Amino acid sequence: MKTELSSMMDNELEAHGQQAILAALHHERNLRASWDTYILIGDTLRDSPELATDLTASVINALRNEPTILAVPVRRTPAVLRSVAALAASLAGVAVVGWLALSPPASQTTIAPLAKAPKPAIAPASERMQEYLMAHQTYSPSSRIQGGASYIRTVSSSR
Amino acid sequence: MGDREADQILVERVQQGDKQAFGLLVSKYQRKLVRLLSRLVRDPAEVEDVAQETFIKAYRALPGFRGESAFYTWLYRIGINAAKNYLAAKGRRTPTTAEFDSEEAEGFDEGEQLRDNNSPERILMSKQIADTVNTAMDRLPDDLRNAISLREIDGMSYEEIAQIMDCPIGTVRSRIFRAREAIAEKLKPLLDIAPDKRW
Repeated sequence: MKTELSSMMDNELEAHGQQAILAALHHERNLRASWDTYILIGDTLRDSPELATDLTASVINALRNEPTILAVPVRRTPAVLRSVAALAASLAGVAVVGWLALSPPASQTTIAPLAKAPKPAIAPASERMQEYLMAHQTYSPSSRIQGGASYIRTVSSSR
Repeated sequence: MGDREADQILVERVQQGDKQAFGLLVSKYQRKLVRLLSRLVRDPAEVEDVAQETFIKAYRALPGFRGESAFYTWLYRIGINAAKNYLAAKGRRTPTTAEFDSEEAEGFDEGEQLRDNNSPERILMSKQIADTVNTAMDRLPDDLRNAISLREIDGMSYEEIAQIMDCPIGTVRSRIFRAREAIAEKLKPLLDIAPDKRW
């Protein structure tokens, strides 16, 4: 485990190995002590002046009273991906505008047949004429409807 | 994987409620931060107070950290603001922003001044640690000493070290680990920390 810790300190451990080490650090105090010592060795070799400094314990103790952070981690989108996404969005916008501009208007194909629809051959009769026909229809030889059905008035004539 | 990506993994662990992962970041950057803050706050005890406050502020602000800059750059800005607020509260002059350009500050080394201002006990402790590490390094076999030097001093990747030393990456990994363990063993008596001081 310490070999992996040493590699992790050098950023030479793959992500899943790193997660395993981080999980182990929770319950292995010796592993945390090794991390501190390895860091101290590196700082010494790089001639860091303040080698007696060790704030980790005091900071972690102070944080015991702090609420635990539970935030949704926001992964940084690489700059290249951001540029590609912006370009794709621009192209999509141009394509939509172009398609709308170049395609024929929908009204020409859908409304025209309605405009050409034939008008009803028989115009609604006036109210006076309707009363006249009602009064004389029983005498009319052309009527094939007998009985009460002949008294049914059309909607168009009653309005 | 670079430092930035490795730190981002730790940051995301903290954002998911893992306080121990934050401890790793504190351990990693505390001396660098202390060195930088010592430019603003001269007294070493006060520097440590401001450094601790910086880490706590960083922890509180971490939910909003989106990784748009490196963790250390972000931490540095919090540290500078904390130091300026501290000095303002004490009625002392705060240096101008131009004096603390972050890129310039990263390469800053105020070692001698910090040693002068430190307490005799702390200076002695730092010297003992440095002597122990350097002596342990001298006693390492050549292949272990070269491997850890190329990594820690020259900042090379395992792949680059493997090419220089003409050996597999796995061997580099093993040599660096063995070198660290050998030096850590020599440091053990010095770092025998009381259980209540551990994290």
